[in-house]
Amino acid sequence: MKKDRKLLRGADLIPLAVILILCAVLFIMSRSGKKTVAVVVENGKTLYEIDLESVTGEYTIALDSGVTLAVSPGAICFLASDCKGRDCIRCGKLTSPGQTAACLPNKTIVYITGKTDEKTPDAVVY
Amino acid sequence: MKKNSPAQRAAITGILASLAIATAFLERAVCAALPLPPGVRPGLSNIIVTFACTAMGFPYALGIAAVKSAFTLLSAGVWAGILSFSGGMISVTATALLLRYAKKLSYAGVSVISACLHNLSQLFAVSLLSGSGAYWYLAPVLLLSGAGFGLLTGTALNAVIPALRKLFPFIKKG
Amino acid sequence: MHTAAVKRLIALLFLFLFFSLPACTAEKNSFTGFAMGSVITADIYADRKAAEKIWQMADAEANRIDSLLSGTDASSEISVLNRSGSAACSAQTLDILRRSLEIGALSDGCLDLTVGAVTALWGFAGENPSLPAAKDIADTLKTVGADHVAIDDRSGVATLSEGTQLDLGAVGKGAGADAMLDVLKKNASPAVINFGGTVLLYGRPAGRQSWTVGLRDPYGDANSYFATLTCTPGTNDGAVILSTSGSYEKQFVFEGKSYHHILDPATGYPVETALSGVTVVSSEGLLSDALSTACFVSGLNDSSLTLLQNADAQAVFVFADKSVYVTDGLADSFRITDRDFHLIAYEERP
Repeated sequence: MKKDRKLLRGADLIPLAVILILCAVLFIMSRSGKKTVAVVVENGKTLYEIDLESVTGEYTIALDSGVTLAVSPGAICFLASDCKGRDCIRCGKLTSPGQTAACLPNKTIVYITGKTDEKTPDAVVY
Repeated sequence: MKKNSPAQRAAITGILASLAIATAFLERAVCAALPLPPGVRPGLSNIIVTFACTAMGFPYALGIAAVKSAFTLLSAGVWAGILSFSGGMISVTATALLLRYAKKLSYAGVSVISACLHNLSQLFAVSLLSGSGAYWYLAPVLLLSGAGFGLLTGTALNAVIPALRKLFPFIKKG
Repeated sequence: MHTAAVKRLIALLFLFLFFSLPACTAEKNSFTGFAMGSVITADIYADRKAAEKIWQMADAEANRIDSLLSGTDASSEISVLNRSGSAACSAQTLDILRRSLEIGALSDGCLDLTVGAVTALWGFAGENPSLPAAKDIADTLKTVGADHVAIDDRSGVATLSEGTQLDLGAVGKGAGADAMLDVLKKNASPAVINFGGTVLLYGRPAGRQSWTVGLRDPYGDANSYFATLTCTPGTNDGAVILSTSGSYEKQFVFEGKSYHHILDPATGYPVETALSGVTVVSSEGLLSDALSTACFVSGLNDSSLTLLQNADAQAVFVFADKSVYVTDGLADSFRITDRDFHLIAYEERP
């Protein structure tokens, strides 16, 4: 049979090319959700979505609710708040997807979205 | 035994089927011990199935693939059995079609396409059965390994088929 | 075979390849909200539009349950009942009451909804909890007891004895989780919802067989955990709900002594225990929530274990000395990630 002679032929490149292109497409599509983005929600409205990976300096954001947030490269936290409990400030710095901090009296929530690795739990029960 | 008689074809099919089962079993055992992503397999039993396609015809190859999948069902469980069927049926059909109508492709090309379709149809089966769409993050890995191992099995076929023809010169398409 | 038909077949084979690509879009959508004085965070795995709809319904349900059971909202059915002593309640509220009373009875009173008058004395719901006078506690303790609540099934009226107050704090979030679970079941999209610490898992997450839930470190901050549990909801509408009761949540210090918020219904004081927290895992929210309180009050003993077993629930008992006991059903899925904590056998319990 004709096939027995050569290992690879010209026509073989077509399926190989198609496969490589498919791979690239799928890979790009799956990478789109990976950035570490901090989302700030006040009273149900999303105010900010900050890509922590592209933050270069340190700055603060003062919200109308009475809360001040501190943003630095790769991290965000509650800096100051007029609430009594100060639980929000005690949450500390948020750095990886899945972490949350909230100021209940001021109805402000900050959480980080993005691709989580296998080790990060889907939720923490408390 | 008469040349190319039904009895002879049955006997050879039996040998090929057991070869396919043995290869699949060994491959599964070896791969289980290695840290491979799910679904990545050399697919050595496809060498036998493809050979059956060229030498004996699509119906026999389909039968051998079915028997191999049935064995997987019995030895590795329902989940593995279903995956083996879905991958196996699609790739045998694709192999047969490609061998007949895509004559410009070498065995390597045919194996590459069959292996990739095998993996993708398994992925499809898994997403359908689990109702979850995001197993598809594995698709690039499965495609690349399909292409890679397809080239490997194609090379093997290039060596195996002439050798087997010498051993069984009387084999014709059934 | 006709070449045309065969070409169509080959085309079909490749077409199915491309049909499968859109399946990549079941992404994770994150939402937040508030109910029952707590933060709700939800991750719903579906396309964006569907996930938004599901979230809106789930959020509405959590707030609706809050409006029925809330101790702080004066217009809630429970508040009205507490004020008037007798009131007609909606079927759902009555179901929650009945189920809670049932679990209370099974727990030999360790879970008791009627402690409302006593908890009010301590003021944990407000900003300045304080130590009440012993006499006040003794007086209000007389209003505590499941026999002080009566539900008339026909008229739908619940009646309380003189002075008895209901406090559904121990089951509220669990009931809210159940209501959100109903929404999830109607939509069949996998999701994880964290309702003020009560975690609801539904379906199987994208690309995996099971969820991983962290158990909060009683001594750490909000995002730290000392162990993980791998949870696999059963197929066919499976759900897993985890709830924790712990002394680390709300407590105050007075004259050198620390008082936490989980009262022993028998004494009216915070239960004296070597435990710092109990996490219960089951397929029903109200059950997990109620049992976590019941087991915390009761402690790690035969009756707690029997209670859990009969309710088909599992639990993790964490002690102040960082020793941990897990029920048999969790042995395979429980993993300690902070080496300071260690597993103990039942006989070694403090």
